[in-house]
Amino acid sequence: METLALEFWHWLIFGVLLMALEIFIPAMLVMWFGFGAIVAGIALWLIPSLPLSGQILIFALVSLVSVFGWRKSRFSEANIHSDTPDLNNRLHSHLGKEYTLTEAIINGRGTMRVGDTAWRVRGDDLPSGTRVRVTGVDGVIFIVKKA
Amino acid sequence: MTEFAIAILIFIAALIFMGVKMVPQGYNYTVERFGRYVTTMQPGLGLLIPMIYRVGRKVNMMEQVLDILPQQVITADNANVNIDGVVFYQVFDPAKASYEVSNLQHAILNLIMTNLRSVCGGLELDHLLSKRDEIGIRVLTIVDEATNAWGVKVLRVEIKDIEPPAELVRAMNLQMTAERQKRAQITESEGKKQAQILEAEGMKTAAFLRAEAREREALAEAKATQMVSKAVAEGDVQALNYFVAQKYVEALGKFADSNQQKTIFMPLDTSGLMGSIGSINELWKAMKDKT
Repeated sequence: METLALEFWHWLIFGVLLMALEIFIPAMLVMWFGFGAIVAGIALWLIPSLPLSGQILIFALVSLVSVFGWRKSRFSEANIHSDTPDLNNRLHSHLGKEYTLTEAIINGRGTMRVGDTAWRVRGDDLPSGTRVRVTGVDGVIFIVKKA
Repeated sequence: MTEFAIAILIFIAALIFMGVKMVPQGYNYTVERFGRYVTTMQPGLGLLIPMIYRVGRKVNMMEQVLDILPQQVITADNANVNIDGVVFYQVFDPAKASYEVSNLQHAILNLIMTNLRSVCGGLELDHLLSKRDEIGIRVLTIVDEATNAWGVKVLRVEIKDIEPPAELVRAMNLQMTAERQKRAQITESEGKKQAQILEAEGMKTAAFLRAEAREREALAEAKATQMVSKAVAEGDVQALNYFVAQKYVEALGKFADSNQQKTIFMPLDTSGLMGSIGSINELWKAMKDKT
């Protein structure tokens, strides 16, 4: 297998091509191999006597590590602030807002009107028409307190 | 050694390809550990260990629309009506929506359809046609209870079309036409009645006014007579004569005016006229006597 003599810039070209490919496949799959290939290329440039198996191992392991490294880095979702954190999370956008009960809360369950639909609510028994404040969310039920 | 390295590479490639999951915005993926639900992946980049964890369901968290296909409902007054609409719903709890119910859309649709039938069955046709939004809200409140358990919120139930059978529509149109005709006739006769009343009132007022005028005339006449007699009582009878003479002469003048006549008929006793001239003479004399 030693017939395959790879120069370090082969790895670099391979890595850059993988990175470019990632631009067209928006699935975050081949980018990691791009990192791996580039690191393998740099390693081969630093240590020209590195055997092919070593190059491939570096390529593979760095690819795997880069995934976790990404998670820890500041590019990770956990550290990126979204413009609309409540997108597709409509329930949380109602937290702290005040609405009016359309049905009295009896045995801890009632209805209130938000926008153009009725929502089920949970809370202390209150007569209908009371203004309530949303304090929490449980599934698709709002937890409310008297405002 | 190289073969082993390649094997490792293949293994790691498989790990990365299966373990790196990018969840697009608007979706949540449920994660199963050996087939049991453990957690939900939020939109963004997620990692899981491929041998142990697996993506279970890809749940659409966006608001979705379901069509309620046209179906026959029977109203409280036994009319067969075709009704169709749309349902808007949204998943809020991906785990419940994935595992509490199988075939969520089918479940929601059937729930809506049966409840729509029962709500429409409790209403009369006229009510059904005029209170669509109310039907939607009533169905929604019933369905909401059931879908809560599935982590789903039915946001809106909209009735698109209510189609009574053709003969019923014809009858309704007939009823409408008759109703309008009735109204037109009533309006017309109302108008006639009003006109007659007004006419009568006008006549009455006119009669009143005429009577009043006569009365006024009589009053004026009486007053004039009174004044004349007063004048006569205070002054001279000759004053009367003066008036009479004036009238006489005026009348004569009129006769003289008519140009076709060369002769003047005197259909009045000339002696009277002479008398009046005489009376003027008398006046003259009296005046002369005074001066």
